Amino acid sequence: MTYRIAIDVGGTFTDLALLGPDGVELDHKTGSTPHDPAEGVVAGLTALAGRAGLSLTDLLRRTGTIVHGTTVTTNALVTGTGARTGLLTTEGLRDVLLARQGHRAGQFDSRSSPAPPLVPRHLIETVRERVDSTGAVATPLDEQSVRSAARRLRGAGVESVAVSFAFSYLNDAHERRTAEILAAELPDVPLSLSSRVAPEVRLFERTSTTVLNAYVDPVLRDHLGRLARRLEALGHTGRVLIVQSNGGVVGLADAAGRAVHTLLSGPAGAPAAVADVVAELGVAEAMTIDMGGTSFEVSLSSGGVTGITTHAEPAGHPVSVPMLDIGTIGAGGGSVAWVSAGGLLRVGPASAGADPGPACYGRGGEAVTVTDADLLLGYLAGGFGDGIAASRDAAGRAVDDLARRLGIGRIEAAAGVHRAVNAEMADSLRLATARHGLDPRRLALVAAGGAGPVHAVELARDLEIPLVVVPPGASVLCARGMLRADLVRYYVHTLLGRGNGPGDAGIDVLEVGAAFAALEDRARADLSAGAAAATGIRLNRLADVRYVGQVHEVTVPFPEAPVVEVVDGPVVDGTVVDGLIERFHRLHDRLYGFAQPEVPVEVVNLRLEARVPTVGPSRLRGPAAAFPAGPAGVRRAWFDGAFLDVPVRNVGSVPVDERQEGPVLLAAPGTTVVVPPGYAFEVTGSGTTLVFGADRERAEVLAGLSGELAEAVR
Amino acid sequence: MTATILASVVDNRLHAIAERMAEAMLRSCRSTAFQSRDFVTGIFSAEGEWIATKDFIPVLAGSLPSAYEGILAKFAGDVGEGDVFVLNDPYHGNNHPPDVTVLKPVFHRGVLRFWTVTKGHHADSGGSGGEAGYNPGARDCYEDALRIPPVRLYRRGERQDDVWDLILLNLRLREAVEGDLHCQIGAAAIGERELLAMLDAFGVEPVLEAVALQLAASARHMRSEIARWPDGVYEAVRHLDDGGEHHREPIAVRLRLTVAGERAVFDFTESDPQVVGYANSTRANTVASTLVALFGVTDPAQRRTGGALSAIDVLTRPGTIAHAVEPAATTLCTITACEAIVETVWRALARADPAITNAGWCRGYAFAAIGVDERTGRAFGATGALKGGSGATLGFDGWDAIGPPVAMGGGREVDVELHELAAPATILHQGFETDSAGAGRWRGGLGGVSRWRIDQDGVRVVCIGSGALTGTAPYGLAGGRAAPANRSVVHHRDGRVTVPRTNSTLVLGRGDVIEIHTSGGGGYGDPRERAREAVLADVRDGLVSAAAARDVYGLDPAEPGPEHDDRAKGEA
Repeated sequence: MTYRIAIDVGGTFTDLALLGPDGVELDHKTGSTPHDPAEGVVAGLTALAGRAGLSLTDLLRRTGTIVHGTTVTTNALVTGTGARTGLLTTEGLRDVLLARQGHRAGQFDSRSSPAPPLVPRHLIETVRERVDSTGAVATPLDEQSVRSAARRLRGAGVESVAVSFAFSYLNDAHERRTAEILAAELPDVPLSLSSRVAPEVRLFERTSTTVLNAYVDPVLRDHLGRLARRLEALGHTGRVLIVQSNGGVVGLADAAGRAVHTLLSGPAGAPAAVADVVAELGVAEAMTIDMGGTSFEVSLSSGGVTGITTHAEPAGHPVSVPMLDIGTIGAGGGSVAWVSAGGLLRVGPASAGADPGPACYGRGGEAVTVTDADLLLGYLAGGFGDGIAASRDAAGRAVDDLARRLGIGRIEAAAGVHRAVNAEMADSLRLATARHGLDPRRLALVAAGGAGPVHAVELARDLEIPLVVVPPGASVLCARGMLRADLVRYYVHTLLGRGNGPGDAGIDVLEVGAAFAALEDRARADLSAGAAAATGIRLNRLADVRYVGQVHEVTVPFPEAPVVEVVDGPVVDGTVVDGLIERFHRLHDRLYGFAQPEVPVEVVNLRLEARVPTVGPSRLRGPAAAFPAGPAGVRRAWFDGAFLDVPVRNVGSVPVDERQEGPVLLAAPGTTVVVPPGYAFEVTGSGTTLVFGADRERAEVLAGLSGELAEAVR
Repeated sequence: MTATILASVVDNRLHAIAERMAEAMLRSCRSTAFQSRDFVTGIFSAEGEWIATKDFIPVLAGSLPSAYEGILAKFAGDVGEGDVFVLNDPYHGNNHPPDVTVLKPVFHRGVLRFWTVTKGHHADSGGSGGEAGYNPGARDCYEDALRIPPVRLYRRGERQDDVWDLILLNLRLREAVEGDLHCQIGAAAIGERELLAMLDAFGVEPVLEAVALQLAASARHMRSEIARWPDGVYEAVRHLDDGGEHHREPIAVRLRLTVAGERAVFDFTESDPQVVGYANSTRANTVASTLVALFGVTDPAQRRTGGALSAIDVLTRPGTIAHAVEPAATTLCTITACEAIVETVWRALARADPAITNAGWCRGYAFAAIGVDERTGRAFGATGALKGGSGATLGFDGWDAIGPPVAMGGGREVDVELHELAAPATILHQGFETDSAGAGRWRGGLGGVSRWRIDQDGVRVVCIGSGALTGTAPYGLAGGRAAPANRSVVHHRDGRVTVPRTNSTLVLGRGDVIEIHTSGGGGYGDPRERAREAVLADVRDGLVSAAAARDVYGLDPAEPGPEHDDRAKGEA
């Protein structure tokens, strides 16, 4: 047996997790080093090795697999430090990307400017060519215009080139030939082709995705190259896997050409960790919140599987590739509270970030942040780490100013900020559950990040979620998840079946069967190589269904068991299709408030999700190793309109499986679980904290959440 | 929780619900109009106060209160749980006929507490209109569109099939309209569900108190914005190019704005008389347009509610272009009249202080085609062309291709590939046009040039909009320059080149090419004070010509090379 390491490099912190041969997990959090991320990684690895009682070299020699998630691409995008990128597109359509579909996110804000484009207009070249809407060549590729464009781009010193032609998702011949010419003209410049990066209809989104890929490609290559060399020099001879936005992993070589797939690589780690946690508890559906300093991420899982979306807009740039459906809102510990000109309290979306940070950090921040409010209310028993000594006085002074403008007292204002940010988060969670057709009353809320467990119980109360789950290592949850990430692939087959009458899907069951068989063959071929400890390929079949004439589809799982172990080819018969259509009507009604069973439907795409575990089923191990004993005591914390003397306890010191009641503040590494009056909690054998209404029993709560899966929308 | 804090919480929740309703519509709609977000959602209190909205196209939102009043004028006292009302008639409080209003009462434990409302631009509104209901030849409201007075679509949860059938039988694109009506009603039901959950969670009385506080805050916010303007009386006149095929003269909108402390009175009573043609503005549309202008130059973070509306007075005189009376046709009013009204507000404010406001935006100018696609046998409707730019403000360039103020950038253009898949046309060119923006220390946003080739015979095309005259093109401000006017030409397959008249209908065939040039926005401040590097970047990017850099911006012509000027490459 060997070690397995996960490394999650974020903008502020680098989180590491280690799975030992004995099945025990360790983790460590250290500062990120943006000038050279590998430096922080090595520092973290050294500390981790120390905790495992090994030298760094010994640890790396004995490590079979390193799983790496990184935000270097996201940071490059946010800070505008990606590659100097050129774009080749179809003649006449030069400005599709720059015109932004005529959209402005800050709708009424004329005193503002759009984000600078990733490709300036003088680096956008047009090429004479045209494929029509049937995929036929209407104008042959003018190879000379490709060459002259390539030379101009070379003269301009581009470091990366994107190619995106109209209708190339139907016919990629022109893009392929253009790539050959560019490879000859610009031999050392990486190319991104829209027909490979995002082969789907919509030129704007496809171009944006391809340009994003080109923009961050050299950054990722550079980072991975340095890291691999560094690890090798330190003695690592095993494999390195890179986490993709879809939550799965790929090898180093594959990752380099698919940079856009790492844009959500960091948060994509969490769902895998959550899957194990909820499996241990027997919970069917879960919502995960990860609340850090500046952002708040939310995802929903059903049966341990988190849904996929194909649309996101990191830093305002649309990207269309399959990604875990993880929503982000601008609410975190650093979110700034303010008073509108009308006299109402608002929180965010502005953030004090890491610098200057909340007022209580004493680094020059004057704005009231959520962290300042939480501190004054007495919730932050777990400390801040990172050498920060929070000042209650500084927080109080900042809150006083806000309170004066609201005409209320200091503590009322702090409680108001806490309440307002909770309400805003709850609103976004409510939207997320509605979008997925899930009922919050049947969910468990898994809380992660430094601020997540501080706010989770109040969010759960607001949404009527019956159970809050804080897993061990909640502040490094993504790294924990990366340890157990699967190999994942997504496949799509465009069907365009159209019904003629009510309830008619107009699809041929034989065609559907054959299509799934072909997709499954591809999945087996692609995934068999990487299945180290394969326990078989798990497959999930879905269909994109809509009423004839609609613009968007609802992705509906086929009504057999949602996840099947593949033995033979799939069986699809008429009753399965009927069941699919019935399910579509029901889901449509729940999502959009109406169904039209009297009109025909169309099945646009068949989808297949295939995943192979890279480690055997793991068990989270006891809390003793993970939670050093810490100080206990009593502190004053604000509950239900008054300060109470509330016990502070270390999570590691709480007897396993023993029911306790709040109010209490549970200190854990990097966070505090706030348990208000009226709530009970228990800590399980694996170190997971469960919080639920004091009027209920743990077994009863869990039983209520273990039912059949709802028809979640993917 | 103090009442103030609960007001913040309820305020956020109401807007989140309006947003959720809008998202449901976006995901379940049929028409390309809905797809491009030509719709709004809203929430009213039981007493009819407009308390929340999601306004992708804000000019639709500002007329929600009058549509509500129109429906209540007929049904007050006869409203039951499960009812759904519908309205499109401009003489019963609606803004214009293609925007259909759907209103649903929300009963909580048997008591009316809220209303949810949706309004969207339908693919077809009957009458003799073309794509999206536009008929430049309409002389009156009967030729304009099918008139739907306030009627009940659902009674106590039961669909009224007779009413439903009466509406749909009069439409060409009835499947799309039926689907989009369901989509509106579904969204209203989703809003209802969420409001009931909110009432259960916080209790009725605290919520009602919070709503009152929230409305008061919204009113206070707008008043505090107005209070920042210098007191005085400011006048402005802007024109519509014409009123349609039957009125080929410019029409004046005249505003007398009085600012006194935290109150503003917008007096449009001296505007020109209404005309025979489809450009007349209903009072609802005039109020809505005034709000758009106002929200465009005040704090963008404020809530757009009845509270804000209560901070102003809008005066109109029946029988004028700004307050049409029956039987005037009105379909075009959300575009040209709205723009002229918005411009009068912005111009009047510029007299008070140019820094408050912005230079002129582009005006809507588009070709809309309707027909049956020979490839599929299915009906299609298409409206295209790269949109114009917005006017510059003190300190900021205008936004490129953002479209007219009607939407304030809230819409999203349909993708070129989706256009070609849905309609028998090929988009040969669609991009920014060099020197299309008004020059200035801060320049206007760019306009564009689009060339669409028609790929089958017998396609009926309407050219709609305004801003095609020098006097109606986007104006410059504080020394900034005006932008060129909208214009278009048709390159016929047989070699003829014709110039279509704005607001007219033409029939085009296979191989004909429509070429549309849309205005950029006006510039702000003296162009000779523009930062040198900004001019050089624009020249390098082909957005400003070397000649304009020299002649207008006063820059040394030897400095930049024009190698990427579109015109140098022969593209435009």
